Formats: sequence, structure tokens, C-alpha cells
Amino acid sequence: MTYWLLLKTAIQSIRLNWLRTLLTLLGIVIGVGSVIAMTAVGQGAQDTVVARIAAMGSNLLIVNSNTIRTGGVSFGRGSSASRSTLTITDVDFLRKSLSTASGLTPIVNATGQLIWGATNDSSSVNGVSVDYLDVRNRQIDTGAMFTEAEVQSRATVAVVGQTVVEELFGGQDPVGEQIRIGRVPFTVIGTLKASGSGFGGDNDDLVLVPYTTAQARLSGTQYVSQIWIKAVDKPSMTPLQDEITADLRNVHRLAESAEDDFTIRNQSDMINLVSQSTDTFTLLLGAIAGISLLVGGIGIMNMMLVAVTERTKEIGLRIAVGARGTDIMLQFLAESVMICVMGGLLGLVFGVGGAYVLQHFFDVNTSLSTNTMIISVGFAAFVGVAFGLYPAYRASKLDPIEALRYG
Amino acid sequence: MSNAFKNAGEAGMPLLRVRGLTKMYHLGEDFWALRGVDIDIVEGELLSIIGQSGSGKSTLLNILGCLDRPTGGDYWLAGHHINKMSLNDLAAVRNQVLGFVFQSFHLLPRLTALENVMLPLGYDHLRKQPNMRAAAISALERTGLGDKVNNRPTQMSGGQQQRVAIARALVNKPSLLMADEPTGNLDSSTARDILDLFKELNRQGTTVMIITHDPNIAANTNRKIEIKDGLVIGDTKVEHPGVAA
Repeated sequence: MTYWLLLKTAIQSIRLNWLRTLLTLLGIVIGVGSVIAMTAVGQGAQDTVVARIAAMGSNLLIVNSNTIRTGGVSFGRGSSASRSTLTITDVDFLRKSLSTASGLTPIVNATGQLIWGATNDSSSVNGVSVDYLDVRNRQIDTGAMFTEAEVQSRATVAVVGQTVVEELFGGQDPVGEQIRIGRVPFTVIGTLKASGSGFGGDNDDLVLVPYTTAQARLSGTQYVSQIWIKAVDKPSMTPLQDEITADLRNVHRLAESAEDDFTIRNQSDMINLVSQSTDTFTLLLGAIAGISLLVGGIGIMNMMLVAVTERTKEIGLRIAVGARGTDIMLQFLAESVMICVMGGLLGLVFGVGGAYVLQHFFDVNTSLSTNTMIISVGFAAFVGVAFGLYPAYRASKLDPIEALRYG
Repeated sequence: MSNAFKNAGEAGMPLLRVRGLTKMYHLGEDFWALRGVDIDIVEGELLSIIGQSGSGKSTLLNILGCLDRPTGGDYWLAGHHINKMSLNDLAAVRNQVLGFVFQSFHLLPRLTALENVMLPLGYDHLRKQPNMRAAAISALERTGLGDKVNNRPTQMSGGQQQRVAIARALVNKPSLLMADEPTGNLDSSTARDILDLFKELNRQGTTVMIITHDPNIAANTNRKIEIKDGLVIGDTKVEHPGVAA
């Protein structure tokens, strides 16, 4: 039989039982549709997280203090009672020694109510260096960032984020205004451009002050919470990380056998870690959807077995007028593959439509992948072959004499 | 298709020859449906094979129709040694050499008359008829249905359906037309028309073999082969075809 005839015969049989075919096809439609929509959701989640990590800056290494145990009592990191192992000495040493760092800023966490005239607000106050903007990939909106001279002179100047502009100043430009952080008066000299939400909440609910000022006037200690270091490029990140480790162990006078009293997080490691976990998530979603595709395949097989039985007489006649076993087999295979491909294409439409609906009406970030579409429709065709093979084989092995006498 | 089919057959053979044909079924105990049948059929004959049910005529038909294989004996058809052929070659013989007409027509209800007649052409791996549509229309015209090509079987009378089935059997220009009780499902006047059609086709050169249990139908043919208990018990020329015995 020619391919055209095979196709025509398959269409004729499908049209004969279009409702049954449609219902059976639903399994494949749902399978392919959910594979496409689910992996789009998984991929979208990954893209969102990776974008957030990337928004922190690029080629970042973040040095965190490890919690110090004092007399067997553990203070959780970041709790007010804990003591950081990182000090301004480390910052100064690293700033001089690191060759492949393009920027470095300590983060000195300080607390204090913000007061402007009659309004007040609470926000996170970070003592940072002038490199902060470059390291964290932030831009000044109005006014200016403080200068190195202002850092050296422990000037009481502040740069505020957009949330602070909104909540403390009611949206008007605060440059030049006097505020108090706790009891210390500061002059607002600039505002940051908005950056949106990131890890740990609102990136715009922020007040930046020189780290020297933060230590001297707000926290009253030599400690810094974190040191953010930006490498010049991606390949230099790992050597830089080793260099920082060696320097800090040296400055901290750690014995050969002692563990690091700090942790360095590598931005690309974070992205990899997140990608890995979302890949697993995507795989899981895909696998669940794949199972429904498999169930759809079983439905197809069931229908094809019924079709072979129903058409026993037809098969007998076709053999009598000269069909070979392979002709009969191809006829039924063509039919099941065609049903599955139709289901796959319909599923493609539903999957893409579903992803669109999730994106636009339910605010779920989705990312459609052409590969997933090709693979899932291809897999549907494979299901057609795999589950059509046995019914087709049974049809081709019918005894024509029995078949002609059937029913 | 193997060379066995392509090559011309042995010279000096009649169209159909069986020698010592036997068929055994295992039905609890061995049952011999055919017990040594010898038949020669030459080109251009119009003959009937007659026998009661259980005589073995259906078994003989299935073997002669290349749908079943004999237990023993030899079968040559159009020069081919049938019992030595592969399944695919047998399919080709059914497609190219034989034409089947069944008692219950066996038309596919979802296809039109034309599509039903074209069915065997789809399995013609030799592409004997390049224009399938024209071949099918000309076959339908031969059976008098040139104006019904687009009708479906459900829109036709029994006689018309059987004419479609005969056209389907003729479409590949077979050497031998085999009809199994072709008038069994028809009323007597329609049956007469169908028999006349067979006679007409035979007059135009087609070899026709009718399998029946009905002596009135056998009387319409030129030769009558009688089967009983798996053996040929009579092989007679009919002197005045058309006159009921």
C-alpha cells in the first residue's frame, strides 16, 4: 500500500468512530498538554529565581561570618547576641591584597528608627563602602552616592531606597533633608533606583550609610556582618575564592587543623544549586505528566484492540484480496500513530494555551521550551507505535478464513 | 515478490491442477476433510463445484483460494507451484491471479462502490494498473453499475451489492474468478441476473468457478464437479447449460 493510501484508510477509520477516537485521544491530549504546561511552570520558576540571584550583581562572592560558640552556647547567625568573626581589619586586609576583585564592600548591619520631622519608619540600615553600587549592581536615582572622603571622615550622610522615599518622605525627593537614625542626625544626599523584590524581601526598603559611620555611630563595634566581593570575571571567581580563604585564615590566625570561621558563598554556585533543585522539580512535574501520557497510551491500545475485533471481517476481506500481513499491520499502526499525533498536536495547543493562561491570569511565571514541545509530541507518536504495535500485530496474524466467517 | 512468482510457470499445465490434495483437521481426533482430490481446470471454463455441507467443498475452496494450505498433495495455479510459495507470494497470487466473490458480498460499508472496487489495487505491489480509478470504473461498468460508482453499499440492493463485489473481483483482471455461493443471499430473479452476469463474463474470456450446494445453479454451468466426503465423486459436462435438471 502506498503511504497516501495508508493515510487515507486511517482517516476513513478515524472518521467512522470520531467520538470514540476523540474520547480516547483525550488521554494523549491531557498527557502532552500537561507535560508542556508543567515543564513551562518549572522552567519559569527556575528563570525567576536565577534572575533574582543575577539581580544581586554579577560574579559575586559573599563572605559570611560563622556562628561562634561561646562556652558551648550557640548563637544563631544574625541574632543580636551573636558576635561576628569578621571585622574591619579583614576588610582592610582584603582590599589591599585581592588582585582580581573589581569591588568590595562590607555590610555593617545597624538598627535604628528612621525619623523625619513628624514621621518615622523602620528600615534596614546598612553600612557600606562606595563600591556598593558597583558590587550590588545598583544605580543612583537622584542626588549622589557618598564619596571615599566621606567614608574616611565618617560623614553622617545617607542614601535611601525608593520604599523609604515613599514611606518616610511621602514620595517627595528627600535629597538635602535631615533625618535621624536612632539618635544620630544624617543628611540624605541621594536616592537609589528601584530594583524590586529579591531574596530577603524588599531591596528598596534600605538606607545606605558609610560603614565607618555605621560602626562608630550606630553599631559601636568593629564587626561587619558580611563582605561582598565582586570578581572581575567569571573564570577568576574560584581562584579569588581560594585567595580570600587563605587571606582570612591568615588574618584570623587559624591553625592548620582548625575549620574556617567564615563561609564564602559563590554566586554561580548558588545559581547552580537553584537550577539543580528546580531541575528536579521540573523533572518531577514532567514525570507526573508523562505518566498520564502513558495512561493515554493504554487507552489507545484498548481502543485499537476493540477496533481490530470490530473489523475482523474487514481484515479477512483485505487478506483475501491480496493484503500481506505487513499491509494489515501498517494499516493499524498508521491509525494509532495518527490518533496519537493528533492528540499530541491538540495537547500542544492546550499546553501552550494553559501556560499562557497561567502566565497572564494567575501570575505564574512560565517559560515554554521548544525542545519540550518537540519531545512530547514526538513521544506521543512513539506511544502510538508502542501501544499500536500489539493490536496491529494481532490484526496481521488473523486467519482469513475465520475472519471472513466472523460475526 | 520472489522470483518464484514472477517467472512463468511450467509449460503445458492447465490453468489449475491439483493432485492428491488432502486436508486434515485436529478436532479431538484427526479428521480428513479432503482425502485425495485431483482436478484440472483449463482456461475459459465455466464450472461448478457442488456438494452438501460437510462434503469438504469449503475446505477445497479455501485451499484453491490460497487462503489455506493443504496437508498433502500438490497444487499448481497459473503455472505457480502454490504449496511451495511464501505467505507474501500467496498474497500476491490472491491479488493478481484470483478474484473472490462471497455469499455475503463482504463490502466495506463506509466506502463507496468505487472505493470498494479499488481495494485490491491498493495491495497490487506490481502496480499492474497505474490508473486505479479508471480501472475500478471500467470494472463497475462491466458489471452494469457504471452509474452507481459513488453509492455506498447501504444505498444499494443485494443484487447491486453483489455486482460491486464481482467488479472488485474483476478489477485486477484475474485468471480465475472464484464465487462461493454467490446467489445464496439473493432472491431467485436477482440470482438469475447474477448467473447471467457470470456467463457473460465467461463468454468474454474469464474462467469462472462457482461453489454451491444448489443443483439448479450447477446446471447453469458447463461442467459440474461433485464432492462428497472429501473426494470427487463426479465430473460431468452439462450438455444444455441453463436448463434445470
